[in-house]
Amino acid sequence: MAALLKWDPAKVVLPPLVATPLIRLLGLAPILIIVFVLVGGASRWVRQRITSPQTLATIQWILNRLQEDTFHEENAAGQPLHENRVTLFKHGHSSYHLGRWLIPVARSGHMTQGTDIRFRAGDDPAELEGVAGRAWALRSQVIVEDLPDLNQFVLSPATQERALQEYAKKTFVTQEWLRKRLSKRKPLALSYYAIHVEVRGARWGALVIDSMNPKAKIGLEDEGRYRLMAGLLQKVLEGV
Amino acid sequence: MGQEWIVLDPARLAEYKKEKLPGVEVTVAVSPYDVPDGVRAYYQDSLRRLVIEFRYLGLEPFKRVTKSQYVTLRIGKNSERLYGIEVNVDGAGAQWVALMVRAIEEQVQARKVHGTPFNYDIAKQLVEEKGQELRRTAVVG
Repeated sequence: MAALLKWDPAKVVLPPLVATPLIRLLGLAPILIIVFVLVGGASRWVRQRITSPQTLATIQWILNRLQEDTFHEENAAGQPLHENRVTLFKHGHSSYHLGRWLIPVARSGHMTQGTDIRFRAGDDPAELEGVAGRAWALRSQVIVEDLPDLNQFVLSPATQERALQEYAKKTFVTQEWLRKRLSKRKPLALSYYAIHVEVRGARWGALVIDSMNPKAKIGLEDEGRYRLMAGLLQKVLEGV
Repeated sequence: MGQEWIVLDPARLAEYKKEKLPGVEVTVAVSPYDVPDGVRAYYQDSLRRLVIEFRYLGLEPFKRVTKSQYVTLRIGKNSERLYGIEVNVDGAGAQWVALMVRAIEEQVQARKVHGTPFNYDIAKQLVEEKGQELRRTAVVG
């Protein structure tokens, strides 16, 4: 199309059989350019939204495996799987909210799959929410431990207020956000581990491990585990 | 490129690469994507330079950033990670390692991405520790 636009029929004379359709095409060039742009954009939009069931199953397998490796002692001791979870978030636009967000794609286990949790993650530091948002922005691992237990219903109002304040500060969310979660009877974890997820050097999203244990399961001995997981996810997500 | 990679221990390099966020009891640690698991060096005839390359979990296109007459850095286009250093060792003379370190430090200031430059800290540590060995074992690529 670019070559056609540069063609001057007066200077470069072509046989009528070739020139006639090319001149017609030249007349349609502005419309065709708009159509190409729209089709290109639409195909990208569709591609971004289609994730094959096989890819999703592979992602689910990786998250389940990471959960089992990280919490094998807790699982063996009979702790419910939803108390120690691994969730993968993708960075992008939300269908219902303005701005850019970390939106859940998959979660370990079978329970709490239909989560509505999402975190704001814009370019402006003021538009970063949650431990996930922080890990995404800093391109690092972020570890938060020893959070106050807000799931207890025996706290006095003053203690509850102080605990909310501390929890909100440590996890980069607002107290209002926490109150909403609690009013929906959503449990709030006592520790978090979050890491950004990359594809070809660009940030794709974030992975969060939340646990009802006050200490996050992360240490030097875990480096290999997270390294393997990050490498595997990167390969799988290259096609998503 | 025939030169073999020297395998590194990412766990050792990641050690101590942690910090507390100011005012909050939150630990930020180096990302596994930023820790190289291999390094190699070779002489590239076309550049007339020694090239030191770092291997990471993933690949991405890089741009060449000239830091001085003797040192050019290879910087990841998306992550700004340090993928390699091209150094004119003959021209730089005895200061060639120090010039690489200075180039990395200058690049830290030029970064546009947020967060602690753990990756550059690790690269700096590696060229200081292994620079001479890498030069000795480098072959013509």
